[in-house]
Amino acid sequence: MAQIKFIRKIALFFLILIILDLSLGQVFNYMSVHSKGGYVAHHNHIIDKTHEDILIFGSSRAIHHYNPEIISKDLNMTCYNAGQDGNGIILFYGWWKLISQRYFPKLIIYDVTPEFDLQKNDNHKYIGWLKELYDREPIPEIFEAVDNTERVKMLSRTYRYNSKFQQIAADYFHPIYKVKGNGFLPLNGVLDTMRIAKSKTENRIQFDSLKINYLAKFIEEVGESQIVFVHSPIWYGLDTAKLQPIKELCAKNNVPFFDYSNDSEFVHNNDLFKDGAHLNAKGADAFTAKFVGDLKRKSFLRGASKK
Amino acid sequence: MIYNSFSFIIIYPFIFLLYYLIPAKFRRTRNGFLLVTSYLLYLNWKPVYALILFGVTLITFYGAKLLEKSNNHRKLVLNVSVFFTILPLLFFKYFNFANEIIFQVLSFLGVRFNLVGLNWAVPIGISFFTFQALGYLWDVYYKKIKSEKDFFVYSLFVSFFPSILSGPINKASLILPQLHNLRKQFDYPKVVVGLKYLLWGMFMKTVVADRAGLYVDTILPNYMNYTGITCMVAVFFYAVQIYADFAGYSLMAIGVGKTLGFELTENFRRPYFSFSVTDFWRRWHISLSIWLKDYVYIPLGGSRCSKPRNYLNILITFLVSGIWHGANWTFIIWGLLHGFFQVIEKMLGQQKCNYNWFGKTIKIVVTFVLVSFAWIFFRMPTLSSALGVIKRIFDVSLPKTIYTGSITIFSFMLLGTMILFIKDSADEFLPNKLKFFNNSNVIVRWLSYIACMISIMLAGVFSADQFIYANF
Repeated sequence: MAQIKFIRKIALFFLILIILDLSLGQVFNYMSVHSKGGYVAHHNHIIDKTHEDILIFGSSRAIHHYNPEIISKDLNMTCYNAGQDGNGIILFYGWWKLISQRYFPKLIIYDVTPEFDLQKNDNHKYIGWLKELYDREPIPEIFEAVDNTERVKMLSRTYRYNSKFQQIAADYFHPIYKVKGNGFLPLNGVLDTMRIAKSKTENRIQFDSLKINYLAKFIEEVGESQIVFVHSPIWYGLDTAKLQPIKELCAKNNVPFFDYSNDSEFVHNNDLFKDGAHLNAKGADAFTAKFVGDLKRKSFLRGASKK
Repeated sequence: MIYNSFSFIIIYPFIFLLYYLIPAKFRRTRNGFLLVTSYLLYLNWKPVYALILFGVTLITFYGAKLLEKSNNHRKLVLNVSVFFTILPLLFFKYFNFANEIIFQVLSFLGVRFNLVGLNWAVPIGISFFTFQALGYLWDVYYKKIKSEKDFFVYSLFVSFFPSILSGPINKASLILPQLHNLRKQFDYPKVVVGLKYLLWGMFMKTVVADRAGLYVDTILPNYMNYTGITCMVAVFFYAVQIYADFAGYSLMAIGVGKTLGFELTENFRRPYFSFSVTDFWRRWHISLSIWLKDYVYIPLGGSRCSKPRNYLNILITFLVSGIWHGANWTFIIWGLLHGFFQVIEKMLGQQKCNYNWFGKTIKIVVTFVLVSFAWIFFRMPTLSSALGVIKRIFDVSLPKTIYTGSITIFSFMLLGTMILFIKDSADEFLPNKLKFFNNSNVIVRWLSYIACMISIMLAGVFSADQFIYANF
């Protein structure tokens, strides 16, 4: 009978698919755990091996803007830059929950990017690097909050490496990106005027309650660590209305917020930028030194502790 | 229902199972089930807009009945029915555009005052189901078909869930007989073909279109920050994106139809292998092209008139096509450009291709470039931004560099495009030699299915909200 033949073939198709799915999942998991360098090894290090006094979180603007060498030297504390391109609080909250199962650093520096940390947009992209960590608690809760259908998608082992498998394979066989020992990725070169012709203007800023809620949870759950929020310099300058929710959160929780978004030393200073959103190596060093100076003036750091 | 959405993957197997649990001899029950399902899915989006769908169904159903009965006032009945059918579409889709034009004219005349604009979402699929219902009305008027007697069958024709969102715009003469006839209890070969369509459509949408979209959506909205070559590459990838998006959607819609035993109108036939813009419109959004030919071009006089009048008919037809796609000057320019290209082809006798393979290749490339150029107006939100992109592409003073973003992501996009190109080339030039899903060797066939499915799981983008054409 046609129906029986159909059911048999569909069942066979899914059986083959499940076997392949599980096998590929295992292969990618092995490559991810044993990656030789690049972003994947960088992430593994952040989650399972960091022990530094200071951790820096934030998007590409964190990874390119904060030089841990300067911070370590000036504050006499070890420091690691745990920034990640194109990401925000949803990823970093997940990472923090895993890190805090091991230890609490003395200080967390969180560089805020309104687009990734405060404004409304598609949150699926921020759980990309959390997919392979789905088996570890409390990561599934984050997926549930972003999209409750994700927990069903996560039944597929292959899907956990969706859009990331090429990076995992590259970092296993031949890492393309060279992440330094302290996580910092300085941008060399000077500002390309092509890429600063015009910044995007938004008529109406829509904030994302999910992101703001995770920022609030992050502040609540830093435990023995201290946290400061920063908006590092941007070539264009910034409409500070975009920072309103984080300013309010910081004020409410008595957390320092350092705003360099319209700092005249940096705004429109072509020598210090690689592009409209990112400082170059020279700019990063200048900014880090200035920020550490301001941080010292606050002089509120306590001792660190280990679990 | 969005075919790449998770809700579709969850809901559809239930619809499929329940449908086939109804014995084929209970044709009305099967139709009733599909009608209820179609309305439930539509209600799921914005309940109140189902009233518009129902209203359009009522007007065209009774309008057609009246048309058949009346002898003396047929034209009047037709015009009144068409007016009330098209009214919601005009109201929701074109109110703000008309408002803006009136405002500008009033400003120019110095009698400027504010008219309140609409801030409502356009009912999903309104352009598609309105055109499908209008086509039925005109077919009855031209006596190509008899009016439908069964209101429930007609309601299902207008609201049929596989095609309501973004077409294909089906002809009543294709669908109504299928709804009246007893369908097979389970048409195994058709269901298998339907699933193949679904699988390949899903690949086109999630792996090719949405991945190209990640690049295009980075460049074109911020074109002023990128080099001319980067903008040009983004425009070509937009051509890939919109094809993979819309043809992928259409394949999925037709595939879903087939799994339920229905044949829907073919909507795409490898359009980027067209050797002229005229040929392009025989391969791109075929159901809309047929609709425009039957209900706009031919009633205007078609080609059976003087040459200048024929050229004007082509321009008017593609002006209507532009307006149908959206209430914006950019769509009007896009439509007129396509009309203009075809008029030039007709003047130069270049609609057909009598050249050897080299000449044909040149014509295919030129057509692709012309069509891609027109896509700039289709993609950009305003005329000034479209002109900005064009200016940037032709600005020779800019650096000759290409922005690729992440090289791993960019290479992924290239790979997806290459796979699509190879598949389409095989179907176009070697239809009986290079087969994947239809290979006679069961191993090749199954390997193709599995590879396609694994590619979707590994490389598919599942967070894209909509199909591009769902906006129209």
